[in-house]
Amino acid sequence: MAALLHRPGGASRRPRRTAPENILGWLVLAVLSVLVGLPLLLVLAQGVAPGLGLAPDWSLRPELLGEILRRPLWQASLVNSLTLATGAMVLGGVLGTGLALLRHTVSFPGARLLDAAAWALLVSPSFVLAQGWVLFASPSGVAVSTLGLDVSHLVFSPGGLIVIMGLIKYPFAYLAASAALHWDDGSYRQAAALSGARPWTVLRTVRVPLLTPAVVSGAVLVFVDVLGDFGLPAALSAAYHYPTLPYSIYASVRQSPVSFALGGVLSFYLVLIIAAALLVYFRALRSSRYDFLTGRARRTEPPPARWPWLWSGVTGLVLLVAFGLPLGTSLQVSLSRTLHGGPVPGNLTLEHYAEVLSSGSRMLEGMGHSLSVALGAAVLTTVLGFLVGVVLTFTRFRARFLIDMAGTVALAVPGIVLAVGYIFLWNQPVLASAGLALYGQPVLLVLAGTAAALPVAVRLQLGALAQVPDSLLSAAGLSGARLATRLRTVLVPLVAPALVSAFAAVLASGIFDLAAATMLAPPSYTTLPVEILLEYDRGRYGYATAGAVLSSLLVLALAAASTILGRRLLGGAQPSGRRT
Amino acid sequence: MPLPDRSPVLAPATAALLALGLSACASGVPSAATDGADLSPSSECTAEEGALRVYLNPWGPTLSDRFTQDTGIETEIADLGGGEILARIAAEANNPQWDVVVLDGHGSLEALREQDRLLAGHTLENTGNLDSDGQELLPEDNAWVPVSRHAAAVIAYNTDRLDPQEAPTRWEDLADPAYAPLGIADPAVAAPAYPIVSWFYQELGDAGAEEFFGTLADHGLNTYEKNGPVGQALASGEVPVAALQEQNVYGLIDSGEPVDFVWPEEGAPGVVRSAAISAQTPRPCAAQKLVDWLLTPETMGHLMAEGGDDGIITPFVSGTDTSSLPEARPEDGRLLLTDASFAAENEADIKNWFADRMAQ
Repeated sequence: MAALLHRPGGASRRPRRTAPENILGWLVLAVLSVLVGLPLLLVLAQGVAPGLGLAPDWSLRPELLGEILRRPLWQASLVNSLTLATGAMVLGGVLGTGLALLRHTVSFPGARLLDAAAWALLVSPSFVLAQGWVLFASPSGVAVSTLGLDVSHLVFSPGGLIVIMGLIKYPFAYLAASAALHWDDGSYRQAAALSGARPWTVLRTVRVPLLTPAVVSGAVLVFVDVLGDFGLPAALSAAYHYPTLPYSIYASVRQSPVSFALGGVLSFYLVLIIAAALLVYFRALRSSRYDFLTGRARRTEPPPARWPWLWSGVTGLVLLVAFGLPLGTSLQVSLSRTLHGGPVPGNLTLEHYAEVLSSGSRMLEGMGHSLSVALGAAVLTTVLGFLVGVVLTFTRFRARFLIDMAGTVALAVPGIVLAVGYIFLWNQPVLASAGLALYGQPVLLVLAGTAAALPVAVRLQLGALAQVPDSLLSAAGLSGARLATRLRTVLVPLVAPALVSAFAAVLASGIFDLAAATMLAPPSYTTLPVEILLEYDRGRYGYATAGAVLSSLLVLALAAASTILGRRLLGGAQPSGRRT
Repeated sequence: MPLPDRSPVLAPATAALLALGLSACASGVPSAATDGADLSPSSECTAEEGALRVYLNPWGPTLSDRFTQDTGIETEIADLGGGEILARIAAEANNPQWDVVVLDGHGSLEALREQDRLLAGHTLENTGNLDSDGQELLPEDNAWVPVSRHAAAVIAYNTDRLDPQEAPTRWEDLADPAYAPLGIADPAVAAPAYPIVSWFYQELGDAGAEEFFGTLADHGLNTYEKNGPVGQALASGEVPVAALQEQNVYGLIDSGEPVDFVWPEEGAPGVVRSAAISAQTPRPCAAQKLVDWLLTPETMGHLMAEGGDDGIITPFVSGTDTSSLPEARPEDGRLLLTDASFAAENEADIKNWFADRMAQ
């Protein structure tokens, strides 16, 4: 049978290739090639053939790849990046998975806050959170001026940074595990319990194996995201010298004399590490694939906790440290005349907010520009992410591996490198003569935002799509529904929460897309992240944080509104019964 | 099982991409380059159509708005950090999207000149307005034009931590561990810090400069990405002494921070603000008009008075009204300028040395 078959157990026997799936597959591949593949290849090529695609006089110099052995800075960057990413993967993975288990095992007051906090953290730009940490912990920061505590040596150390990154990035692990726990087939657990298994045994033998793919994928996502994160080093450079790969790449393409070749070499190593991590990730996913959304699956309703207030306390503590501390610091700084003045009446002021909100303020103008760019990127990314998810999950399209790689690698490629690739690609004279000179147009920010946000959108939707058994689609197929109809009437309602989440996440994070904005914004086109970082770098912390606080509020409101609106709109299409 | 042949689900994505593509088509970029273009002096030519694209580090709209007001020529500006401007110019090598660049750091422009990226050999009508220092710096082919100079660093200190008589007065004093940790903008990253260290390299030679900065690093050298955070660290007492750009120092003093400074008698490493035109500009006439406009005392006076921190400079343009300079700025402060070719040739090596030294 050529239809989309049900996969028996873990062995995935995929359906035969058919025309519409292939068209979809090739189309998605073509779009991804332009969005991610070509720009990345152009940058990587600079590592072995400097000038390729940029100037007529390029040369092949593969020996450049060996430079890493000669430059202490690069070695330090490599070691620092690996230390940070591995540490954050362990810490964030444990924290995220633990919190997800807690959230979905028992109910207690404030449990839903964990979901909200995870989303808020995920969509909060890491550079704003990291700025909060830096302003808190720096020797002249809020910890000293307000609490009289000098925590700078504690925080500005490899261990301290691992904790910060673990706290900022744990939502990847939390959401991955939550997605798997969201639909929970109680029959397995009940069967175990009826067989006399104690709760610990049920956790160990039923829940953990069912969860393993999600936990592994969540942890790897933390690793990959930390490895490619540019926000922390960008904010950190104001206080602590800790070069990482993304920062050194950024410096090599941004500092004069600019060397794309060196940026290309470092990008090459970064992509190599990511590829290795992804290999582990895919192997883990393949070896333990479960369709546990069976006919009897239902949304879980965890029983009340035995010590609800203990868990509420844990939740409160996590929120306070992960979220309250950096954003609280930013809030305090935004209300202070000077950073080191402390919370005394004479140092309190609203002048920074007045300046941000004054008419003609560049911050407001940037907010408007960044918002419209992010909206465009959110629409494109959600649709594209869904289609990528469909191709990966439900088709046997030959080049699925390439699609998966392209969709995930962008997560680890620093935005700054992707942005440089965009200039290389879209500023080719041949495109200009064809009327496709996108470079210097705001639309390029939309495309770069889409490429940067795609991995998150894809992963979010894959988690949900992986839980939909092929049988649901094949049943619809047998009834004669076309591919599009099946996607619209069967898949979209089932994964609607993931779709809406993806849209909200991309919208919120897109507004703060620092790297793309820095490199690709047209002349005279102010953007929010550039304006915030510019003022922060200038040492105008009050104005910068006032802009960041106001924009964060705006973003949270937008994300919440689009989530509620989306759920309501899509909720109308939610199937009343399960279509098995 | 037969599957449907077309998928309307794709429609939104393709439509969106198509729309994006089409919107791009609407943007016209002049395709003409300067090869064979009219390079007659600015008063004899007619400005080309379209906005003049200016990449600039200082002055921003203060410059572009006034230029448009004075000449009627529209501009599009990219108001970016010096490093970002140079990165953009490098990335756009095969299809430059800029006509004029105004930048702090003549070494970087000299490097672009050596790569033939700058318009050269054209006539500028107002270079005669440059004083003797400016004339000395001006390359023979007018590829870049020095506009002004200012101190990339003076010796600034926190008055809560040090009495005036304890403060360092010469650059070599900074090697005294009593003044550690020293605050400075990261020479490997911050554009304004390179003119500081390049002068030491020129003055002391590679070995001498590396020994000097190595000693500073051993005692404690706190580097920051830009001068702003250096100033904040100094104001809070995190560092007792900093090599800080002069504009930042006046700002701190003005806002009542416990900061004072010494302009060493031997001089302060200076940075030269310069303007240049792209070799491939399709608007050479409008670009020349901008550069000639910059070289008038009226323009410089306006930019100094209205430019905020960017206006605290010593202009190379004779006859400029400098009454807007802050009182704290010494009138006779000597500026030490690195030779442009030296700065251009050694930039990569010097910056790499700093990056690697700080990583150890």
